[in-house]
Amino acid sequence: MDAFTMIQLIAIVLLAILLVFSIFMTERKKKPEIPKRTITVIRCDNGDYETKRDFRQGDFIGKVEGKCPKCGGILRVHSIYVEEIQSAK
Amino acid sequence: MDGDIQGIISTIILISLFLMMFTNIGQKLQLMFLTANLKSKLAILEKLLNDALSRSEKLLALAGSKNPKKTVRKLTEFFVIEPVSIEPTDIIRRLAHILDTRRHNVRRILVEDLGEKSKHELSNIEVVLEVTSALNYLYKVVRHYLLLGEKTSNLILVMQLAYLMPTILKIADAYHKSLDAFEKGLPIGDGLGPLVAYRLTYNAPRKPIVEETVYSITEIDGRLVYVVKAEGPGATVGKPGEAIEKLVEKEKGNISRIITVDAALKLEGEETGSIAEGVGAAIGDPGPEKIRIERIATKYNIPVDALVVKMSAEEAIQTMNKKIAEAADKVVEEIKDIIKHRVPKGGKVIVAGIGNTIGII
Repeated sequence: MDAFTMIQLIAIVLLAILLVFSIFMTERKKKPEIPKRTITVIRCDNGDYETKRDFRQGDFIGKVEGKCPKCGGILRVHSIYVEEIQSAK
Repeated sequence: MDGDIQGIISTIILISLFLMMFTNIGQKLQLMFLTANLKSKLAILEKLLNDALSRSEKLLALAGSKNPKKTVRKLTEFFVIEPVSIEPTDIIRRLAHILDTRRHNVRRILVEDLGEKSKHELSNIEVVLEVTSALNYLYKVVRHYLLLGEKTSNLILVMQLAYLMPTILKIADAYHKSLDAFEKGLPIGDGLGPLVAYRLTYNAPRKPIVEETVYSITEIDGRLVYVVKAEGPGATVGKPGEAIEKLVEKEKGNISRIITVDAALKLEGEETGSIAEGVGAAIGDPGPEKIRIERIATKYNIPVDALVVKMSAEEAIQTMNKKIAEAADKVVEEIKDIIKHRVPKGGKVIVAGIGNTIGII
């Protein structure tokens, strides 16, 4: 096999690698989604007590959640949001 | 032997180059690869749509629908014809009328199928169906251009669709993920405005003023504050423009300032939850509500302030995240600051929390 044939073969192999690489790049896997959880924050109207728990169906911001264990004031849902679950390292 | 191989390879390369340069085989190959790729993406869209359809049907069945399949099909294919725009006279009134008719017709179809339900429950079901309808539309439009491009071998059309596809898939994925919030009645990013309104008034009584819109009265540092928001906790945006107009007329124009608070789309690179202040009516409706605020403010020469919290389009329709929830408290402080410095003691001010109030009373 002479040098010219060798160069041609190398060029073909390189082109094939390039093609496979470009297909791989476009079809590359997505990053895995970070797990999230929905939190309900409950706060006393007088601002002296706050607690968090997982969201329950029927929760909405402003919903009355009973009486404050500290001052007897009204407990309300203050906030509902999603946050990422920190993986244990 | 070496010479033979070399000759064959050279001939193949030459013929290939000739065919690629002087015939349309190259384009045909490109078209083939692109359509194959687009078909796989269309399959993803179809999967999202089928899931949304089955979830909508399940939701309707749980709410007591007699024929969930029929109702879902009817509402996902429901369309609105925009008013004539080459004759702009009265266009806002005509648009408002068409939007009202749409809202009432959709509500009527749901009530006919489900019977009397609470308006909050109906609003949530309505929005789930709207999301499904948006996914249905995206799927049908993509399929249309793909089939048209294939049928007419239009490489430019297929290429444009292929380049748009990642963005379309991103939008479809955001819509699909938003179903979770609407099914469970969770606050979404766009609920930032109503959340600020809630944090300004907490348990103050909500007085109905116009359709699906309420207002509360509070006092900040000796200034009377009317706080307008959509009526929660169902998924609705209400009619804040009409409500502000009514309040200003009720006060005979004796309003020192109107402050509008809304979620705004961030540009790539901007941080979610960052706050910006400006002037004008911060409201992203098709027009009828925004123009009411502008007209009434101009009529009585009332300055209109705008406070926005930046977020992406995906964040705006998905469950509210922590950054946005925390931004609400900062906006409340900014509003108090504006009122203290720009509204005279004893003055009256209107604060409107614009956005979808799902999950917020």
